[in-house]
Amino acid sequence: MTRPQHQSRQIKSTDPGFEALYDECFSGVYRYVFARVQDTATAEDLTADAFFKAWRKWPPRETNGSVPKAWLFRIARNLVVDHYRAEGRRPVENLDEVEVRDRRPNPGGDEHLSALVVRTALSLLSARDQDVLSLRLAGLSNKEIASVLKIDKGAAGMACLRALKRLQEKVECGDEKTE
Amino acid sequence: MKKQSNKKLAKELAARLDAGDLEPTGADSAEMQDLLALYACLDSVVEEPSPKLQRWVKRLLRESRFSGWIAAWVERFRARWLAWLPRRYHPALAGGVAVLMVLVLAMSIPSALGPGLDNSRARVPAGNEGRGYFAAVRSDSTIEDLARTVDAPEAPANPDESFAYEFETVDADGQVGYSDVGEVQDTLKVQPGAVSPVDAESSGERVGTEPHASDDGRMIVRRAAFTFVVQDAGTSFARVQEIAAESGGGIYSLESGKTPRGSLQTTVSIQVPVDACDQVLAQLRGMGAELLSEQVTSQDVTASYVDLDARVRNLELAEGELQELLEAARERGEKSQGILSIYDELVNIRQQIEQLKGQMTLLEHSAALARIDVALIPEEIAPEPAGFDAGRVLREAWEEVVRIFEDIAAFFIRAFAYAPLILPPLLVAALVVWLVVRRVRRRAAVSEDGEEA
Repeated sequence: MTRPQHQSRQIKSTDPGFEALYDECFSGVYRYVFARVQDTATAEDLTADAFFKAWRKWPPRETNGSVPKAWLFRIARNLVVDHYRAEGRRPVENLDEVEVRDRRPNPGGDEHLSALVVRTALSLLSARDQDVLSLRLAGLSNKEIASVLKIDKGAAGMACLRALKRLQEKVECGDEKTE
Repeated sequence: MKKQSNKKLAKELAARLDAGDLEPTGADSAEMQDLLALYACLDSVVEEPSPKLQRWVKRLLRESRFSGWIAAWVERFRARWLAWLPRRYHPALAGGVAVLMVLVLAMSIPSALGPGLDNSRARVPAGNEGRGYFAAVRSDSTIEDLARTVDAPEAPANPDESFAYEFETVDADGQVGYSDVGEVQDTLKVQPGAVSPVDAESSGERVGTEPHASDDGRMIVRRAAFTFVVQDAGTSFARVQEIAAESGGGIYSLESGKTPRGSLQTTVSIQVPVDACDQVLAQLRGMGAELLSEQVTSQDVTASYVDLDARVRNLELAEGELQELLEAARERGEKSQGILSIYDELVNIRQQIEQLKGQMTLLEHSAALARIDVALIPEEIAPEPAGFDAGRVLREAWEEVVRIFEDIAAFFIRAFAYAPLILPPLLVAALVVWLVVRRVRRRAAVSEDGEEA
């Protein structure tokens, strides 16, 4: 857990609205970022950066009619994109390229293996599918996902279903390969 | 058909996920059950944030609440106005540039006001030394106050009997200016009675030109110098002038100026008849001001005077003999060349006699009038007594603080006065920058939307 890079030049007085947003969304933002980067340290840094960036820009000037929650998740999403850009990484194409870091106990157990496969399969999805599923895992509803991604609510539901189905395909494909 | 089922499935899935109900039931289709199981597995592999992280970030956010508004302003400025810059924003560099700009502005505004008259000092115009010229300092009220002290209570009946006292100011760079002083008063008329003997002499009237000798026949030139610490230099100056006038003397020269703290500082030279010198010295010592230093000197010029007198007498004898010789030559009808050579020698001797007599007159005058220099300095620039005085240090520090604030206030007042001149081009420049920034930001926003799309 490193110090956020913008921490040294912070910001205006606290705001009850921001504190409420922080309490409400901290866990969700972390889960979203972790689902995208799948690394605890990176997720912690990016989560902290997201809140400091939001803190500097608070209150949001223009949220296109969406709630601050969507605005906050858009900030986190942009940070994840910037992170990948900075690292020069590209999405993996197959399971052989995947480096999985799992610090949970009992490595090698069935439960661990299935979790490993699911996480790996998630990383094989397109960025769009990863976004949709990660936002779902962060606890956002279809409406909120639609607001973050600036799409229609129905389209968000369909995108979620399709992403889950594609994940299922990847998992099944991975299971076959493992077997 | 498949689309409709997908839509229905998506709705059901959303409802189950929103409710957090991930447990498959018998009523669920097989596809739904698989999806729920997969999602539950996925949900389980995503970590929750540690409470430590949550507390840490919150603490950092709270820490920033007290020190933030300047940083927030800088950040907003950077985001709004400097976002288009191709290079990374450097706060230190920007701060340095800002300080430099403020310094340049602070230096340019006073220079734009013209020759600075702060700390100006007064002086006698060149070529008019000893004529009682009265110089003035910058402050208008000071000019009037000083003018009142030397002015006659009533206007002179005959303007021809008055002397003109001119004002001029000299700034810190040595440049002479009349402009702002002229708005107050260009000349100051004084009664002949207030004119010093030197002035009177220069106008053709001889005062005290009889050779003055002490009781034992010696000729003594007396000079004195006093330094007084005063609270009000104007009042003390008036008193000095009064003492000089009572003794039959007058002002020889005057120099006045303002200290950095704005108090008046005056140095006045008076000339008094030597007979009244002791009385004047006693009056000066007892005029109520704190005497800081005193110096009285006497110079015996008897030998020089006697020597000059003897030389004059010798030359006058030679002159008489030459005149007799010249008359004899004319009677004898000698050649013109011989007469001319005698005449040239006569002229030469006459010239020497005049020069020596001039020197004798100067000595007589110096011996007849004692010159007394009186420096009237305010308490603030008087030498401090030795030893540590906490009260004095505190008082000086406070005065410095007040002066600094006065300087700052003066800067802003000047800036405000120059605002009509400075603001329009700044506003135009700001408008141009704003338009450029807005255009760049819009383009950036359009390209970002395009990328997202």
